[in-house]
Amino acid sequence: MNLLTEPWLPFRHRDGRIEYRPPSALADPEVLDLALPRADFQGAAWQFLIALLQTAMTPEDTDAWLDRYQIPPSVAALDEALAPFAAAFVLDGDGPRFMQDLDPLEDVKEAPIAGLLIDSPGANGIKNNTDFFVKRGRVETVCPECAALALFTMQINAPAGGAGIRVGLRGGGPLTTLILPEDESKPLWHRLWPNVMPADAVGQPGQTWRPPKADDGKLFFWMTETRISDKKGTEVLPEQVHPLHAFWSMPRRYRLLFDETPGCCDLCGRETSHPVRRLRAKKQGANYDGPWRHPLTPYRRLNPKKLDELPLSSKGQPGGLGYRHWPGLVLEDEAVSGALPARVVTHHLHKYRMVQAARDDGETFEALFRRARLWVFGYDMDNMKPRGWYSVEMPLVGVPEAHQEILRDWVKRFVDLASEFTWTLRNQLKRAWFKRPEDAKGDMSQVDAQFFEATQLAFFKALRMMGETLRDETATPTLSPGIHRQWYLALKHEALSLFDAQAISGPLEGMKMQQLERITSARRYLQAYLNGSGKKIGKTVQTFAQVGSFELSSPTTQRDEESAA
Amino acid sequence: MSEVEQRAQPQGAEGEATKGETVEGYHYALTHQEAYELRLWWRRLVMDDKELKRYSKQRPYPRGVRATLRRCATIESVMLTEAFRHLWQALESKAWQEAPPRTSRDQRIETWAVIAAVACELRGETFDAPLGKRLGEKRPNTGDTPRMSDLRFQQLLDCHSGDELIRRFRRALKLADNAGVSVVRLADMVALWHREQRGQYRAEATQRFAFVMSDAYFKARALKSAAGD
Repeated sequence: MNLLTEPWLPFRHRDGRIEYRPPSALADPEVLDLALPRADFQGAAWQFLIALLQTAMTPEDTDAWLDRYQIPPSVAALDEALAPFAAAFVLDGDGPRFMQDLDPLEDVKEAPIAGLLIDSPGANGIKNNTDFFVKRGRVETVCPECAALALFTMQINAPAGGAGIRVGLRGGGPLTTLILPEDESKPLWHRLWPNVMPADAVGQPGQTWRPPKADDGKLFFWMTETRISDKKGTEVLPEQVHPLHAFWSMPRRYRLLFDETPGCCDLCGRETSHPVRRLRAKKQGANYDGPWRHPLTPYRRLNPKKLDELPLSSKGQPGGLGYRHWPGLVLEDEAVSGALPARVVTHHLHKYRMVQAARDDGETFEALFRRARLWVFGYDMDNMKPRGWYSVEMPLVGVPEAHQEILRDWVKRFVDLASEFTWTLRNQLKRAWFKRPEDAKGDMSQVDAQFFEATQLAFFKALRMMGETLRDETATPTLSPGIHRQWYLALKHEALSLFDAQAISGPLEGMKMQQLERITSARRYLQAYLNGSGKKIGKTVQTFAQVGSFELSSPTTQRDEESAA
Repeated sequence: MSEVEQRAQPQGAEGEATKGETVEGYHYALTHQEAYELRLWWRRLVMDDKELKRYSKQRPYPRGVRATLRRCATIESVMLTEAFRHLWQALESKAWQEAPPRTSRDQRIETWAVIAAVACELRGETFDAPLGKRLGEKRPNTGDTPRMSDLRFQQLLDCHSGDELIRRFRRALKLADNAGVSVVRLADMVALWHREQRGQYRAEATQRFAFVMSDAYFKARALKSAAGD
């Protein structure tokens, strides 16, 4: 089975039909999206297609990228571009196999195919009977199509699995950020191409560009003898490999074993004549080390002052992904917070400027880049165990480079206010719930999560307005008091209604007086805090109002001040 | 409080130039017109000729009218009094003419009978002052005791029948020295309580009887202890 010519990927078409077609179908204007049976497969399949485009038709520079953007290739042209790489994408057979070991690994024991899925319980979990939530035995038979994608998913996300079981090139369970046009009716091509980088930007320092070839063992590791990492000094560093290798990294050694007994795939439900039920896996695959910066993954420096420390890839975290994380995913800030957005995002801003310039020259470009979204997804891993899968879309605001600093300041100001509000909200909820709040234990983070989720829309609205303010390149951009005020009011409203829902949604009759006293006094405190009344309590809000230069006046606050005086 | 009153007036008066001046801005269970008629009736009930002149050209009801009402301990007996008849007539001929009520006549009679029975105990009022606040204030000449204790206040929130409410609210007003409470706010709470007795709870917990009452009560208590520090 060849992954470039066989119809093995399910595509969603404009008329809603889902059809299995070869990867080149991505150039069909009727194709809107992929439709994989699992969320992590969906993310992996997108990256597979981006990697294919990046390998087969890397544009020389941003100009070439733009030309391609204007005139997409036909399906036939794409097939033609992919053809030279066919040898590297054979899933079975006796030659090199896609993302598998060249060696048949006959000396290792066979293992069930479920081991290829990140969310399967490990061997130890099965031995100790600890597969409480993620059960064993869910997946026993897998069709070759799903097996190929499972293999790719594992190789790009591979978590560290103990001695010799290597972690992926960008760490275990990394986040991926992709750029999507706002318009959902765009064909798949228009959503994949923005994530392709030109040859002069895709590589990392130390790498030199050369045209990719199917038999390049420094691009596709599976085409030659496996790089084994049993000794020191066998680590794979960025400068040793092809600039595009990051897309085809292979930290694990696997061999899929194809069965003769037909069966039904446990993942997609289709009948298959040669399913995969077992595989062989061996330790000590490629051991990635050094300053890797995968183009699709955001990184950060833990300590921005120590430039010799390696940047770490951002991972999914308990609590999910929200606008709290937005600055770190979009705005480069290596010096202060250490945020290093994915290189595709940073480069997107460059593309954005080029499109602007081309439009100013009178060329007819779609203004698609005015409105783009950022699709962030990835596992939340606890070592080998996945805690969850996150997939979020956020707006992507492009501003001129000179104004990035200002945008970062503004965003920080807004996010900080929200964080301060959650802090007080959480404390006052504790005061309402417990007799001795300082001794109350327990995880209150769900309050934060709820608050951030509830205010997300307001934030992105504010963000869009910030972007619009900064787009006109004036010398001293200022954010209008109205935007400040709206953000403040939205936060205040959500904080109060969240408190009410959490603290006083039950019947109050029959409650003990101490309870009622706690609830009412916590609510009064919260209200005073949110209204900015009182010298000490209202400090946060007063400061924000001062910075944003808007008036903190509403009928209720006026009255409160009056009676307090 | 008079400052607040003046401040509140222009807000409540918008579009209601004639009535706004004598009615609080926000109600939980009463309509604006109901509140207006109630206050008018209450003034004629408790004020003497001289005091009433400041507000109205009307004459007070004879003294016996209030006395009879005060002696009633049950809803049924209240309904038979002359005072209640005056109130009911005022509401029916004016307030409910302008805005037809959505509740049934039986329910309204019961609600307003309780209101009448409780309101007649109030001798002097403070504009916009809720009962809960008055009850949470420090009792004069004591160290740290509120006018009404926690336990009693809890019983007040826990009434199960109209008769019980009359008894407990009258007791509460006595502890409040029969003054310092707004008659409209007082009636508003009775009406809110009555509505919740029929199962019609507000969606927002902060708009419910128990919360409104206890919030005012504990706010007053908190103020007092803060001042004592």
